[in-house]
Amino acid sequence: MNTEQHLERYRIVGEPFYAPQGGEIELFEAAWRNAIPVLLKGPTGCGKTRFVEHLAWRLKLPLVTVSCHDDLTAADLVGRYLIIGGETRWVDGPLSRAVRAGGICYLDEIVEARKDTTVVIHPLADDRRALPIEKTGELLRAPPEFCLAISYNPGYQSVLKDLKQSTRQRFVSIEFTYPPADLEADIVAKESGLDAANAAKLVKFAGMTRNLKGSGLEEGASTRLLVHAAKLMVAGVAPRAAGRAAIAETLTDDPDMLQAVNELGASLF
Amino acid sequence: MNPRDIEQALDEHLGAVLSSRRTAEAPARGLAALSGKQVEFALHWTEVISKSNSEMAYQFVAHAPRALAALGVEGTRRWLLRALEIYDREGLYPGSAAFADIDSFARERRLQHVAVELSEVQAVLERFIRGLAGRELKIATAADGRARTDTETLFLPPRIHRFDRREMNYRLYKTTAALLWAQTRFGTFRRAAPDAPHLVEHIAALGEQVGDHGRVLRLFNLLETIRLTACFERELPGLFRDMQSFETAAAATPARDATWRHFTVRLQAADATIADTLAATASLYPLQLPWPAAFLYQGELDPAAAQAVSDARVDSERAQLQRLLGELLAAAQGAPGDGDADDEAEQRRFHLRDDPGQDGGIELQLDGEAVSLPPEAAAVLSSLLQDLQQLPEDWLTPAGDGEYPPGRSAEATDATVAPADSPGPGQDDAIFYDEWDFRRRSYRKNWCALRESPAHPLHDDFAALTVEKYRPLVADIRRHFEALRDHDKLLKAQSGGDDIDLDALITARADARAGTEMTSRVFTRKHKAERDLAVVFMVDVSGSTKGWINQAERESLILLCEALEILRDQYAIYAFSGMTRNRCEIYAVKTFAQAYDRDTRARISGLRPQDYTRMGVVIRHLSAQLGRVEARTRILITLSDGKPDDYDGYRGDYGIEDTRQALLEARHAGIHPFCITIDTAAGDYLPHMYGHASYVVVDEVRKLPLKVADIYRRLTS
Ligand SMILES: Nc1ncnc2c1ncn2[C@@H]1O[C@H](COP(=O)(O)OP(=O)(O)OP(=O)(O)O)[C@@H](O)[C@H]1O
Ligand SMILES: [Mg+2]
Repeated sequence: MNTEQHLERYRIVGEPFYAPQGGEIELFEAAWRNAIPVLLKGPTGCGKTRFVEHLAWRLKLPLVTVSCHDDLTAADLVGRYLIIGGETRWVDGPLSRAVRAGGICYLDEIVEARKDTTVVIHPLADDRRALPIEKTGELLRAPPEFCLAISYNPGYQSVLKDLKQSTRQRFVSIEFTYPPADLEADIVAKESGLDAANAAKLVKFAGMTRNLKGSGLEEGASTRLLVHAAKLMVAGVAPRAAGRAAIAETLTDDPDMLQAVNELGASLF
Repeated sequence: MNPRDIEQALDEHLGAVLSSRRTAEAPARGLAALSGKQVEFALHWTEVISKSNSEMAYQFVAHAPRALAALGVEGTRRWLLRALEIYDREGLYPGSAAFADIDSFARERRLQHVAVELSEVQAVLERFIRGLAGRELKIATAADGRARTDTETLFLPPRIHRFDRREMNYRLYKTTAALLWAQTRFGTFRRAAPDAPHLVEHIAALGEQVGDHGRVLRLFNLLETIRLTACFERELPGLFRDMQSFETAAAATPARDATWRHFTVRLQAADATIADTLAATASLYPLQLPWPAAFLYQGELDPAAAQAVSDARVDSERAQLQRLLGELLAAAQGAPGDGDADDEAEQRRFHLRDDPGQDGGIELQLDGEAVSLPPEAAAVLSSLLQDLQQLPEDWLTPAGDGEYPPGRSAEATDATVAPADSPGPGQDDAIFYDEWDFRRRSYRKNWCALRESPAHPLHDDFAALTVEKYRPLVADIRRHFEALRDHDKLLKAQSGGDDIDLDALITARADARAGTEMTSRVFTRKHKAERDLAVVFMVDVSGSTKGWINQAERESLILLCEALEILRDQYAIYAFSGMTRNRCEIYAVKTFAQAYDRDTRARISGLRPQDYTRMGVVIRHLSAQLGRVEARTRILITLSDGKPDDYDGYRGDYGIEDTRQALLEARHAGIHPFCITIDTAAGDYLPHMYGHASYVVVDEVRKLPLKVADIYRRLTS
């Protein structure tokens, strides 16, 4: 079957830029060597996806990413029979594909998936390391290289989107936060080509919005938003306008909050 | 221009309405007192107006000097244009009346167009200041108009109408608030160490040494503002530019003196501190130089208030820090039962790494290794370091078992000494609950007696009025909640249903071809999303909710019920208060079994502030209540206005820790606790009690009814 060929698409060729915050690469590698799955916790846009891409490159493993949503079924992950040219053929889902190939399967925003979908990863995530495929009766055993990684943002204030203990206790957890200021400024500068002084100001701006988390803002500005603002600035948009479009308006619709965030941006530029 | 020339010019324009009894002499005398530019302005307009009507021109010129004095040139121009408009529309009499009524024009103009009220900008400024960071600061109206801070609240004047452009008045608000913020942030009141003198003492000493205390304070404030303004220039250049923009507008006279310049240059250096400002004050004061005018945005200094507030805060934060370090140490020590953990503890030391940078993160070390600070501890530490440049080593001694910060333990023991009338189980209809004593790390058995009774109903039109008052909002809430309820799910691969599931059918066919049995689960079916939620609201009706808060709570409950009826979630509402552990009261507004009807509405309407807030026992009681309901998800939502607080010492750490413990118990029982509070200082303790993602601060009481239903919606979708 063409799984091999298929997987070439999932290999990461160039090194994805990732600035480590301290120890997380070693931690991930150690977990991987010991066949323990990894849970990445952290707010949106703080580098979780980038981190996994970087590790896939580092460990020379194919990376299969699935963005979870509430319609995702177990079959969407494991696979199904299709009729192709009058013949029925089994087609692996992304999870089985990653298991077979011994790659990284990254389930992004796992809490968005339905609870009955989440449980299919349980046997893979404990020391059985196997994925039973009911339809074919096959029991897929994961090779040592296979790695399961899931991500989850604990900041969401919804009781329905909580990760079950029986799921989370199968993983080693790595917590991501926004990087320290100077590192974050570096990231912003590298990702966008913006000069260091302005990148530092953007990071300071982000810090201000993060101070407002919980008192009117659901989230502060993420590294991702800073990169966006920086790219606008590099493209010639004036700093205040870039901050308004990429950060303030993105974070809130509340008029008072919007004005306050814009004032904060204006105080820096 | 001399009065004669002016009179002559006026004669020319006003000839038609002058007579021997009414000459141009008096108006000419009035104009002669004005500046050349203003005279020119007045004569020009007299001529223009006289072309439409000479009497109007006469009225204009008669009132022009007063108008110019009160309104300035630009204001006068608007005033006369408006009078002309009235003349055009309504005729001579109303037109000349408009010229006469300068005062109300001036007032109106100021108020309507350019004055900025604190109430309009408070919400924005609060968020702005919070964003700038540092310690949480409240904003309040300074009734006397004197902008100042006590390091906890920024007092701002109720209204600013310094400029005749609204935008400038707003800018003045913003920069005034920012400068007060900078006083707390960049160390105007900061001391080197806990035993170092406060600013108020420094000023008093200087006052004695060199002269007038009030003038010393004034000079100090001016110099300190120079220092802080330089901080803005370095760190917040946008705000600095705003501050600069007044300098042209309000022409501050720069002091040319070399000594003055020498000191101000020093104050503007990046490493300048309050010590430099004090030194500059001591040196410059005796020189009797003329001082430059005060900065528009500088406000006043109230070092005595700052001292009082800062002393109290430092004390409580020190205790808080030591307790948190104790927890940190316990966590670092790992699981209990760790052999000689106690001996080890004595050798372990916390240490703050010296970091001179203002913004440089604080690094706490344990035995030379950096420890990551939980947000709560980081906040306390950074607040302390705003008050004190350096913390004595022994402040970093963790408080643990049996080791309490001095001063606190006395209060704490009081709290837990059983009152004389200690209740025994089996007394009337009370239910007994344990309470957590964090100092002993154990429960006090059957410590609180709780009685449940129906809330007192008040049959009036409160509910109807509330629905009426928030009519658009109610419609909005209904729409949103209906969307939640009607969020139909299309269930796939069902054995029966409304439509064929093509995916499933193809799969089934393929399965059949592959030799397995063909399934009949090939339909899709619409399905009302099963919410299967049970929620209890526990509403704080302690004495502190008196007035607006109580009203807002009751309104919120009405709106909430209206919304919840749409969702058909199971819900119950209880109010709670009490006094001492022997009399904890809980009032049933609506039990799970009761419907939302006119009696419920009457019970909501009848809720009134009672006594104190003992939260742990209530959480335990309601958790038990929730546990008895059949539901997949159980939520306990607290509506509160402040910290746990009861008469018999249930406050401070003791109350917080018991509440936290009760919430942990609830969590273990599978309940999701959540808190909605209007206490803007809640950031200091709620994360510790509820966890970071499990609370919301609504920063204005009047917004509570608007927000509660929405928060609930977000929480459960
Ligand atoms: N440590 C980092 N090194 C390099 N780039 C980073 C880092 N952290 C964040 N970024 C930048 O931020 C952007 C967003 O990061 P990423 O997409 O990985 O976020 P995420 O945590 O996966 O967010 P989400 O939870 O929303 O999926 C990246 O595209 C990258 O530009
Ligand atoms: Mg991602």
